[in-house]
Amino acid sequence: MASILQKLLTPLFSGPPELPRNKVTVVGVGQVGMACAVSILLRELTDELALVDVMEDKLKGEMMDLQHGSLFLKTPKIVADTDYSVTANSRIVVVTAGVRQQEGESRLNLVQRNVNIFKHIVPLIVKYSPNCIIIVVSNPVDVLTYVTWKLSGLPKHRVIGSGTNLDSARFRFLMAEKLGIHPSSFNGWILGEHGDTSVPVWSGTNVAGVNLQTLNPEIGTENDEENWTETHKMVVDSAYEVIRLKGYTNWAIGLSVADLTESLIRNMNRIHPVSTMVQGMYGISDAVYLSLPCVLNGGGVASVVNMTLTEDEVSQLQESASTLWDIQKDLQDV
Amino acid sequence: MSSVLQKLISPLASTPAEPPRNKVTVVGVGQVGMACAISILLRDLCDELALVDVMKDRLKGEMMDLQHGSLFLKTSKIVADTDYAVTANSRLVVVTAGVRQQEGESRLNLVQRNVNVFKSIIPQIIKYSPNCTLVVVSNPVDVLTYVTWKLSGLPKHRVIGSGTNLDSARFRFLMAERLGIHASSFNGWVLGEHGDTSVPVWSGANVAGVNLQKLNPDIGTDDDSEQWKATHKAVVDSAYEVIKLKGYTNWAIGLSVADLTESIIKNMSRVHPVSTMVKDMYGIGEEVFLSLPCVLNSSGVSSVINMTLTDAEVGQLRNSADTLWGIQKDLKDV
Repeated sequence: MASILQKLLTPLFSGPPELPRNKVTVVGVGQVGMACAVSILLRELTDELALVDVMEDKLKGEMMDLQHGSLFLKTPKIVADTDYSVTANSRIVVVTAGVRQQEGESRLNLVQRNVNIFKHIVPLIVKYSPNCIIIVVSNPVDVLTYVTWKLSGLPKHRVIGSGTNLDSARFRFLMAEKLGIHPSSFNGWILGEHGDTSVPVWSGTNVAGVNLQTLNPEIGTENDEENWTETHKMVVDSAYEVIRLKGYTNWAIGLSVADLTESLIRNMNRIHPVSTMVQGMYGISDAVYLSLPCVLNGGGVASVVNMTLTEDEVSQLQESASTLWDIQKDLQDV
Repeated sequence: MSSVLQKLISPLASTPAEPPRNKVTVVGVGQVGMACAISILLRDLCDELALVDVMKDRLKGEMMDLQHGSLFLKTSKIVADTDYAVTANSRLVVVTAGVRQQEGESRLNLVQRNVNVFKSIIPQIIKYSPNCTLVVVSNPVDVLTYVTWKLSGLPKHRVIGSGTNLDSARFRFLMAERLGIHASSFNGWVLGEHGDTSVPVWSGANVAGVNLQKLNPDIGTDDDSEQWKATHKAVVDSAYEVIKLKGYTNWAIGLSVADLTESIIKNMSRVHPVSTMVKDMYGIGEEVFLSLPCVLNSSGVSSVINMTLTDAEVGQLRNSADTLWGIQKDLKDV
């Protein structure tokens, strides 16, 4: 007797299923990975989402929970496996795997533990998606983006660190709050290290083109009566604060990763502050990754915007670079 | 010397801030509450989101983490407090507070513990948003929706349980997978209790209007050679399965609550299977809440669809009603 499927549907075409065109893989199904996944799904950026992790049960549970929401989504294929073959043919791979900061711990402290994890996962990613763009999120992101670049053998424009995209979003939120406007209407960039030594480019901060430093030449300095530098300090402290309160951060980083993913997948040429290879720029001679404003499109980092920075800002970048190179030079087997 | 704000921005109107028009409150910032929150935010459904909980630090951390994503969102005001004053003037209040199922525990087991929690929160919600619509998510949802209705004093069309909206979504996903189509193209309703005795209305299951029971009259019975009944069983087992694998479920329920929120906030009059007061329907003599297809719009449940059910299906609904009344009649102080 014919099944319901046979009675209901008459196939017109019996070929192999179409390959995905906009596949995204998220490596790591912790709080950050799943926030990235749900933000990417709700922004309808991908036709196939793959999840990978080492924890088999948790991975399967997360996959099922997302699949159960399929009715409300436009991503028809959600897969997961501990085996990286499930990630094949990805355009974008978001790496959130690794250990996270404990309360009070700095990001740099995580480095050697996460390098060891990356030595295992990066070659597997590239094996199955040799043409992908990798977005590294795990901390310390600048060092780990360097590590990923070295381990992957990919050209530098295809390896991006989520970098200060989140710091800048927090900065724009906090500054905009003080001015009573929406964050998207406040222009301000935080560059350099995603961490304690990030650089707020006060000389560029503006609303509708009106430069804030022109309105207040002391902005960002210790002499500033309005103490605007406090806002940048709040950005640096943000992650520690949220971790202290709820144990981790995930929503903001997830939304910021979806934002980067959108520019890459939709070939938009939008500019984002992300971590890229800055050797040769601003007098930096070491092979380090730091955040600069990058034009992102379907090929990855298409170009880098040349900032007009003050001498002080340049030397802050150079200091970040030295701090990072100090750590990188001692890493084993990279 | 005037501040940057004074130099930059000239106010045109010194009117008090506009009250929100589409405010949503989420009570409970556990995994389910936050999944509801992020789904509602990513669907751009509200102009203000309020979070309430008893755990002060966690609540503040979650609020900050969402606020830090403001650049990427269209909800300009995200607030949180342990004091319900923060929820004032909500159009919709989503209640996820309470204790959740442990591995292997049935939803009905949670009841008295959650009734006690609700006795403290429902009157507060009503005090600050007397005209709101309440969506109850906490389990056992049908009993707790009844409890909420009694404690709130609201008319029955304004108190909704998330009910079998999720069961139906899971059902449509699993059935559609077997047929190789998208969940939204498979029409099928699971009604009654959100739980072990939910009722799959096989007589209505169809694709493009083609009734599956006509194609296979044994569908849903034990005699069915294709064992379609197993798919409904998989729906009932879904939550236990995901809880066993990852400890809880959140994404699918979050997405389904955003789906209900959209119909209510946008006054859409879409039909959803949600938990409503079913006394005097299908021969049910008690005041119980069970899921039936309801037309949802800005007034809440504006009407209920009258199903053509088989005698067996009506019998199952009555059984659900009896089971639920068996629990409700013993509840203290409701």
